[in-house]
Amino acid sequence: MRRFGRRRGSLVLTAIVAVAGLVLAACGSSTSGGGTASSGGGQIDRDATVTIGESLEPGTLDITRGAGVAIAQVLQNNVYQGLLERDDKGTITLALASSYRVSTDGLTYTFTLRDGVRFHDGRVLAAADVVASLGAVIAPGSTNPNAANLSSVASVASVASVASVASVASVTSPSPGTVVLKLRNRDTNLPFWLTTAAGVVLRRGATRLDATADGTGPFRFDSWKHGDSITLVRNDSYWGAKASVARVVFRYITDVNAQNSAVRTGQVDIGTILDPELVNSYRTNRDFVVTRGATTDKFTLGFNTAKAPLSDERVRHAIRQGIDKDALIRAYGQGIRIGGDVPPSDPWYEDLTSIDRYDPANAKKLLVQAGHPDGISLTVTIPNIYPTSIPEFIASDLKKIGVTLTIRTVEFPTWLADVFRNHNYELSIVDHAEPRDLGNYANPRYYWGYDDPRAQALYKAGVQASSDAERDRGFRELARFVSERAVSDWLLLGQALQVARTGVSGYPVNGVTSLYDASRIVVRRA
Amino acid sequence: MTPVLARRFALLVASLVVSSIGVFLLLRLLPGNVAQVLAGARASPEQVARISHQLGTDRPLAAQYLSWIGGVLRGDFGRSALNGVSAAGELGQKLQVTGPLVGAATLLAALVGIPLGILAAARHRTPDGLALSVLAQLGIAVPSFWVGLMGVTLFAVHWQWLPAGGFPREGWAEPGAAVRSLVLPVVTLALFEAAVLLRFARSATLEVLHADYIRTARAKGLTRGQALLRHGVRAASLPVLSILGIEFASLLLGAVVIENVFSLPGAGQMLVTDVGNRDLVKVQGTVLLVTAVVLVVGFLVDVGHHLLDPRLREPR
Repeated sequence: MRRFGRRRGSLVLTAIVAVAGLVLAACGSSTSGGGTASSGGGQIDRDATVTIGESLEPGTLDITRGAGVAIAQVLQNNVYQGLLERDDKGTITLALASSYRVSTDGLTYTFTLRDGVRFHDGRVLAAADVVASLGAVIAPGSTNPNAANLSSVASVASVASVASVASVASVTSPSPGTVVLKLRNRDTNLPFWLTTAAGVVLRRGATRLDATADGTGPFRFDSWKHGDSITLVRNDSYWGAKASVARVVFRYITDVNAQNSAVRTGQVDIGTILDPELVNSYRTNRDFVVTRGATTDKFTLGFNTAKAPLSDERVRHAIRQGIDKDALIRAYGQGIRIGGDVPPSDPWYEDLTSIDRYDPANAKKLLVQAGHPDGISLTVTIPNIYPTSIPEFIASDLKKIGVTLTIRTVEFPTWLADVFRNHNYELSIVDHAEPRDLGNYANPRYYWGYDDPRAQALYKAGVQASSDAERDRGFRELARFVSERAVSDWLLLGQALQVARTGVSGYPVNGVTSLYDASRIVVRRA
Repeated sequence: MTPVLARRFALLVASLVVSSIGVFLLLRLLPGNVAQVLAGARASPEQVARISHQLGTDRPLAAQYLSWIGGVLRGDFGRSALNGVSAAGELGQKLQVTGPLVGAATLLAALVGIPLGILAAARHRTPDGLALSVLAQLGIAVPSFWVGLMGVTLFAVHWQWLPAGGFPREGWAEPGAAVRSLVLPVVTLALFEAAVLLRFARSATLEVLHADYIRTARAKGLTRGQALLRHGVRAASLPVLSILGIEFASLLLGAVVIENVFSLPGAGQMLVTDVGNRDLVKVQGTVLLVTAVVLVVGFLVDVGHHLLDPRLREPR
């Protein structure tokens, strides 16, 4: 789940600020500090500090204990590394492993460790570090929030289904420099999962993981000023290509207007501005570069399919057909339309937007068929970290087909307790930012309470496929299956909006909320 | 210690105990818990239960309260379940930002608001006095985040005289930068506070204006202004001073809107974040610490009054 920074500014406010800006601009004097576009020109500044404005600060640095994506955003690939790693285009490459091979039955992965890798405290990386790190994730009783990525140990006992993803039965090191993962069953996604927070390699015996971090990556952890920023410094004895900036500061600014001012005045070099209206104001400004990257942020309208009236598929189809997604995206100002749980960046993506396309007349008919000729009243529960314009838009659309929607805005922990854990809800809106989470539709205990053996079988087929083509076919079928049964509605796929100062380049543009590799950032002197 | 003071001290201790229980129980009414926040939306219920157990949040409330209060008596007000930081240590850090912010804003507000309030009362029948009252109403009505935003747009983005927000990473080790980063927040906060104080000072003065001793002073031949300055201001200052004290205390944790607009790492923002994470032990430690400081200061003020004012020492 992705948690946004609180969005305090209303549309009115944004408009006022925008107008004030225009008035000031009209008054004459230039607001820019004289810097012109100098993207390619200047010399690379290897002593540079690059400041990245983000909205969500992690509560803890302990990547083995905290679930929030904000931890991995700062630490993964920068401070911590896994056997494999993935870049912002989704390409998986070798990191701490110099090579690996998979047995023909797909059940044994043998990794050879890279030579000469050292932790930031100077100790040499050993196979025992990998065994200890991955072993802790899959151990019985593990409290690692991402354990499901690597292990079905925790969930197999309770779920009795294939809902949980993998599969790693053991991690051992038969000889120095070699690590062997034995799987319980085939898992076509294993290399991918190893690039997530579940796959990071920590120094054996490292302590105070919640406040410091010691890894093998291109940056060392320097300091964390709570409520303000986290600073990383270049690891000058890094085994790979060394970072070209000396320092990276992740600065946390929750207020969207404050973030905007920080970008405008150069307090941050790269800013994440959550308000598309504000981002548009940079379009014609040569001092800044705007990027719109891909994400896996699926804004999902979840249905409690275990309870009437949403247990009735016709009601779910009616709601889906009653919401004009294109208009919603226009109103929200960003995002692309998806018709299912799979974003275009996954190999098994298929365009499903023709399923349940906008058709309010048919939606009304479906409601009548479902026995609601006079319409129905429903409540949607949404964490207060998301813009209220989304549920308000949906409520006004659904009113036209006879669904009266009550919007219940709650704090995120309340959402976790009421909706996620107790399934005490009718409709819910959250941003399912996790990549490759199609398995949630094969997990009957998940909060939408969807229990269909066919979905579970399709998922299993995908996970345990013996080839990528077979895997893609399985997942593609599952995505279509759940969309055709309207298990959820997918409102939009968010985009990663960033505004960077001209002269800064090499920063990631896609999926930046959960992975922000700063090692390729280049700052040029003006 | 006189019996009166002993009674006052007992009251202080009782207030602290009651507020500690009150804060503790109120926080437990919040839905959601820190274990679930840590575990997120991918962990199984069994994992969440194990994390609760590790943190001790699955114990009975009485046991949790006692172990917390036991720590408080040893000087440990509680630690964050997320990152182990102590409530007292972090509050001390945050008050380095919030303390000067609120202190300077209160001072500025008092210097501007109180004289103007007295003036508004003295001239409450003339157009300028009326204009002051209207201005004060406006100052209260206009949301301070808007004022802050306009301040940033003008002074930081357009003219680039002041930083748009934030606090220097080295804090007060960079005094110049620290002061500059507080100018806009202080002025924004002071504008609102000055408006509040103006209204209080005005009504307190108006009340005094009708008092017998003012009439007597006027009968002795003083002008209204002289009577007000010599006799009225002192009498009117008492309620204004107590308002000033209350405002200051509440702002220490309540300046969150200003901290948010200017992205200052202050105490208010910390509290909001901690509540949002359900980091309850740290929240209750922070709140109790601030409550204790406010109560103890109140107690010391009472002791001071008691020593200075012989009337209070008379047994009743």
